[in-house]
Order: sequence, then structure tokens, then C-alpha cells
Amino acid sequence: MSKILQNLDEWFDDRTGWRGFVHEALYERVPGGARWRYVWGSTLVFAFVVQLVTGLFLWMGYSPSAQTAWESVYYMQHEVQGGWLLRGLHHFMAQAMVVLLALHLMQVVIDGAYRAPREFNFWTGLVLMQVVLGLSLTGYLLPWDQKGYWATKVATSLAGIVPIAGPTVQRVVVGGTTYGHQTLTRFFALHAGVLPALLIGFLVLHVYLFRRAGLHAKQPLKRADTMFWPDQVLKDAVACLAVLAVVLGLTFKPAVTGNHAGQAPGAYLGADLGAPADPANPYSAARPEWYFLFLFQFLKFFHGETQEIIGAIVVPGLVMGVFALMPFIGRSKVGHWFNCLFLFVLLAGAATLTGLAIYEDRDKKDYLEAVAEAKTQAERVVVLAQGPLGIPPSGAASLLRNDAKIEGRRLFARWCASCHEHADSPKHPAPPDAENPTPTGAPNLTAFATREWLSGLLDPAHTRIDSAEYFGETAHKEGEMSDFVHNTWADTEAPDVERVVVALSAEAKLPRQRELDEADDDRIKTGRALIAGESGCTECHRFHDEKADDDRTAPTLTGYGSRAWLLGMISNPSDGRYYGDNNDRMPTFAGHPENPELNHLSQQQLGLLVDWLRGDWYEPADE
Amino acid sequence: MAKHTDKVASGDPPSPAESQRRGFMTELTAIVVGGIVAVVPAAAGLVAFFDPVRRKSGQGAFIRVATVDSLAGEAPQFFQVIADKQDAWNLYPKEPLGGVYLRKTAEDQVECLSATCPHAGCNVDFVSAKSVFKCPCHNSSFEPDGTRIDPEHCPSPRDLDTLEVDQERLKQTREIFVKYRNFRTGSEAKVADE
Repeated sequence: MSKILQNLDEWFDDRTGWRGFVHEALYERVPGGARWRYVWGSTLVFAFVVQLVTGLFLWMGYSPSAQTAWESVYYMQHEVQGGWLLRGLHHFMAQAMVVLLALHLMQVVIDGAYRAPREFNFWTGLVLMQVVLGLSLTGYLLPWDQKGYWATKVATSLAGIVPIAGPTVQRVVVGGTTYGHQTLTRFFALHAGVLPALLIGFLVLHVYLFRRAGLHAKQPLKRADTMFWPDQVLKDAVACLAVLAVVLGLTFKPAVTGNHAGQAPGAYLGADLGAPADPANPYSAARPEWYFLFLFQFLKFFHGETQEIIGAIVVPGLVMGVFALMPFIGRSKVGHWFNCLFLFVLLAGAATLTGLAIYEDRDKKDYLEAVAEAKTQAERVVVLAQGPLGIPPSGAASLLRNDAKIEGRRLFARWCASCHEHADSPKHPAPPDAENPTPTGAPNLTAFATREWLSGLLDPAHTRIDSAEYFGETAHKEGEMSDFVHNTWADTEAPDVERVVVALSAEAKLPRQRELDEADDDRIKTGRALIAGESGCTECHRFHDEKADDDRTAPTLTGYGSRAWLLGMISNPSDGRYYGDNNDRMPTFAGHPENPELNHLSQQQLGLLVDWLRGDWYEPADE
Repeated sequence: MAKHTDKVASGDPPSPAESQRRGFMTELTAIVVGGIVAVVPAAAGLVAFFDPVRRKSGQGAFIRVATVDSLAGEAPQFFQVIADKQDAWNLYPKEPLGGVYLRKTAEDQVECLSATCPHAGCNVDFVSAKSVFKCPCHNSSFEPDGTRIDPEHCPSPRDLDTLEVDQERLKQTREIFVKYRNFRTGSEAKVADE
């Protein structure tokens, strides 16, 4: 048997020369013996191979188009078995590569390994560094989520400021003037084709030049020379294992630091996936990856086109120029010290700028709110994607655009929050005249039309109707309703007040009160009779008794707080069914049914706003 | 230009043969550690790669295809099967999933045949003039009830696949609900894709 294997080995070696190849690869002389300081190059090669392997498998599940990129990454993260692990490895190994690059560069510069005859080896290393950064930049966009989309938009805009060729370069890279399918196909081709091919080409050249010149040993040599195999290989392998352990640690970190009981691994492990890119929904929390933060911060110091060219093009160009000249500068001892100092000043500067960027963001309210909002949206879109309607062919961005919980809230913040408060809505931006702000005025709409809200409005004992929560800052403070609650209503017995509240709230048919309403059938019937009869409500309000020549001027209580009631009220509060001539400053948002283009809000937007106010949206527990 | 040289190492390097002999444990450890770092990313990729193997087809529910009254005569008629289609991340509402042939066998009885040839998965045509099913790919021929004509020379390894019809609902509402599913092609046994 062993004879057969031996013959086979001979035959194979004769035809391929594999023994010579293995010998060449493994039996490189290591002057002074194996050392830990030589491992960085190998760890970088390892990191790149991991990126190739994981990237290839991710490629099998990726679909580069504006309607499928986020969706296919979502599928990989949340549906494919182990997809989150694959993404986590790829994502964090990309970051590890940047760290390893910096370490390798430091080792090369400190050891003076750029000196003759290794100049070309050093220069190919600089090219490789640019290629790796290019891979990071292009990869950031591919998930087509909000942070990647908006951060890349900034990066490609910078390309556009390059004199003469900039606008053309930008248009070619983006695939036109707007971001879309062509941007993704081009970025994907760059990320998975052009740049890896360049990296492999330059890596082969880099390794060839390294082997040609031999390993640059750190002097003085302390031990006897050895061979690359097995001593240095073992050190390299252990270093690669350490890198892998760190990457796996980062991938699994949320499992250790948080409580995720009952959640699928894809919901909290692996790489982040923000909400789908939406050009109509600017993302104030957009930041580049942490290793580009220094550049992001650096550019804050440059204003205007000319200065920006200096910050984004000239200075980085000069820095790379100094790096390229290092082999010549470092010929003398002083030159070598200059190179070392330059590198450390540069790294310290980058670290300071990165720290400054993080520090500035730490207390920036708008940024923190935007980050929290982005997290909410990212979690919500996954809930919707896993809901009964799934992801429609139009893409996942439409899920959020048509979701009352997200879009309704956004519409409220934009159109309503300057007058009305709501506990779940972001506050309206401060008015331009911050020292003399316009009073918000209108009632607080938190839990509008619920029993609690109506109890407050109709509370005769504490007259909350006059507070800022209700009519306190409106003309209705002095109106008939306030007078009614203070005087007439004050004589009503508490159980009857409660019955009226329960019956009126039941008109809204609020999802959050469905069970309560079903259980209170009797009280609701009595309450309805009270509203229609002895309570006196129908002297001013209509209540299932609409007439053609009705002259009652208070809002109808028929279906009070229901979807239809709110749609009508927000569309036109001055309509006879609502406040008519008594409307106090509430704008008409859709008063042109015959010509919808003149309306502030479309029917769909109104629907989302109303559904949000009513708390009527999909939740998994509803199934 | 100054000639660059490294300082000469103390002593000659050991020969390759000596290196191989020396430190068996070092070699073994290097192989094991190297193996681990090579296997982990590849394994993560392979786990995701084989995801389709564990994924269920999602087929097997009764889908409304037609009504009995829409069937004329005894000849098989082709109908599209339309239902919500989950394609990886997308859910397409009311999408054609495939085709079936329906044939009235009695006033309130309907037989359903899959339009997919069991040989290689092409769609069979019903040739009314000859009253036979013909597969355009490899010329398999079937009777109107789906049995093979000349089974010894027919490329198809089995008769056309029958699909279950909800006979109860058919009697009650005269609507034809079919349990639509795909079957493995090329085998004599009729095995549904799970």
C-alpha cells in the first residue's frame, strides 16, 4: 500500500513539481529565528482569504438592485441559517483588516523595512492599503441601508470636488446623477470583482518582492536562523487564531452583553443592518465606519469648495506622497526618525480626530435622537418583513413608508407637533425665534379618544378642560364646552359621567380598547342613551341624529375618534360636522377633495396619521 | 548606491531535513491551529450555502383553481394555479405557481393532473386532435387520464402525477380546490418536494 502511495506521489511530483512548490513556500530562511513581530503580514493575508471565502458565500445570496439589495441582506441576516455569522465574520474581519494594516505599516516603518532593496515591496504595500480601504468604502453601501446610503453619498460627493475630472468620476462611480440600481451594480462590481482582482494581483507582486529580498530581520539577531516552517508558521497561525477569536468575539458580543431571550440569533448577532435606504428620509445619524471618522472630523475644519479640496484631496494626497517617499527619506538615520515621527504624528492625529468625532456626537441631542430613531426603524422593518404581508416586490422601504407606527409618527412630528403634543412623538423643531416661542396651544393628543383622555376632558371636579392639556391655550377655554363642564356637567353623578365617557370612547373603536369595549356592552348602551338624552350633549353636538338643516355648531360625536371621524376632522376642521366657524386656528390639511394636489396631505398620509393617533398598526402579537 | 545587506545571522540555518525532524509538536500544533482558522470561515459559509436543503417548499395547501362549470366536455383543460408566492425575501400576491390539467370524470367529480412531465420537468401539451398528452422535450406521450402510452419506450419513468382535489368542497360549492405541489422528476416513485 505504502509503495503504491509512494509511486503516486512520485508521479504527481514528476508532473506538477508540487514538492518544489511546497519547499519554496515553506522553507524560507528566517534570520534570527521566528518572531511575533513578523506575523502581521500573514494575518493580513489570512484576513483577506477570510473575506474572499465569506464574501463568496455572501455573494450567493446577494442581489444588487435598489429593490433587492437590502432585502437580500435581510434574508441572509434573518432567514438563512448561519447567515448572521457569515455577515458578522465578513463585517468585523473588514474592520480587523484596517487595524492589521496599521500594525503592519507601523512594523515596516519602525523596522525600516522600506529601505533598499525593498522600495517596490513597500510601494505595492501602499497600493494594497488603498485597495483595502476601497473595499471597505464600497462594501459599506452594499446592504443599501440608511447609514450606508447616506455615508456613501457623502463619500462620492467628495469625489466630485476633485478639479476637472471630479464630476465625471463621480457620475461614473454612481452610475448617473442619482443613486439607484446602477450605483449598486457598479459598487458591487468594484467590491467583488475589480478591487479583489487588484488586491490579488498586487498581493502576488508584494509577496514575490518580499521573497526576492528576503525577510527584513530586526537587528540584533538574538537566535540562530530558522526556516519559515514550522516555527514562524506556528506563530503566524496563532496570531491568525487570535484575530479570528477577536472577530468572533465581536460577532457574538451582543449575546454576552444583552438579554435576548426568545429572539432569533439574526435579530441581535452578526453585523448591523439599518432600515432600508430611503432618499426621501434623510438620515441625520449618517457617519462613516469608525476608521474613516478621522477624515470625517478633519473635513469639518475646511469650509467652501477650495478649502474642501485641500482637506479631502490635497492633504491626503500629500500624506500618501510622504509615504511613497519614505524609502528615500529613510536612507539616513535622521530620515528614518522623521519617517517614524511622521507616522506616529499621523496616527496620533487620526486617533485624536476620531476621539473628537465620537466625543462631539456623544452629547449631540439631534444625533442621539437620530440614532435612536434609526434603531427603532431598523427593528420595525424586520417586524414588518416577517409579518403576514412579507416584503412586497416594490421593496422593503415601502413597508416603512406605509407603516402607521413609523410614518404616522413622522407625519405627526412634521405637521401636528408644532401645536399638539404627543408623548410618543419627537418634539417639533424649535421655532426660529427661540426666545419667544409660539405657544403650542392645542390639546395634547396622547391617547386621544381613549377613556383616560375623555375622563380628563369631562372631569368636572378638577376642571382639566381648562388646562394646557386640553383647551387651556385655545379660544375654547372660554367656550360653551368649558362652561358646560364647569356648571351643568358638575351636577352629574360620577357613574353617569363614567358611562358617558365609556360610550363616547367606544365610538372610536380603538384597537387598544377593543377588549374593554366588548366587556362593557351594558355600560356603553346606557352611556349612549345618556349622551343622546339627559346629559344635554346633543344640544350642541350631533350623535347619530344628523339632520339636513342641522345648526348645532360643536363637532359631531357620531363615531367620535373613529378613523372616519379623524380623517374628516384633520382634512377640514372648519367643516360643519366639526368646528365650523368655531375652529380655532387648526389648519385645513385636505380641504380640496375635488383637487387633491392642493392638499397638504394625501389621503394615504392622512390615513397613516390617523392610524398612528389611534394606535392602529400591525404588531406580531395581533396575529 | 549603497548595497543593502542584512547582518549575517549567527550560524548556518538548519537544513530542511533537520527542520522537518525537529519539533514534531510544533508542526502538529501549526497544522491544527492553521486548520482551525481555515475551517471556521469556510464552515460558516457552507452552513449558509446548504440552507436550501433544510427549507420547506411551503406547498401542500389546497388552492382554488376553477369551478366545475368552467369545464366543458371530457377533454382535459389547462388551468393556471394562482396563489401567493414566497420567493426568498419577496412575497408576491396572486402569482402563477404553475399549471394543471382538469378533467371532469363524472358530473360532480374532477381529476387533476400536474402539467409537469415526470421525466425532466417540461410542461406537457394536450393535443386535442389525437386526444393525447405530448411532452415537447423528449416526446413522452400520455393518455387523457395521465397513463403512459407504450411505457416500455416512453422516456417518462412514471405516469403523469395526479394532484389531490378537495372532493368535499367540490360537491358543496362546485369549486375546484387542488393540493398543488411539485414532484421529483426522473424517478419511478412519485415523491413530493417537501
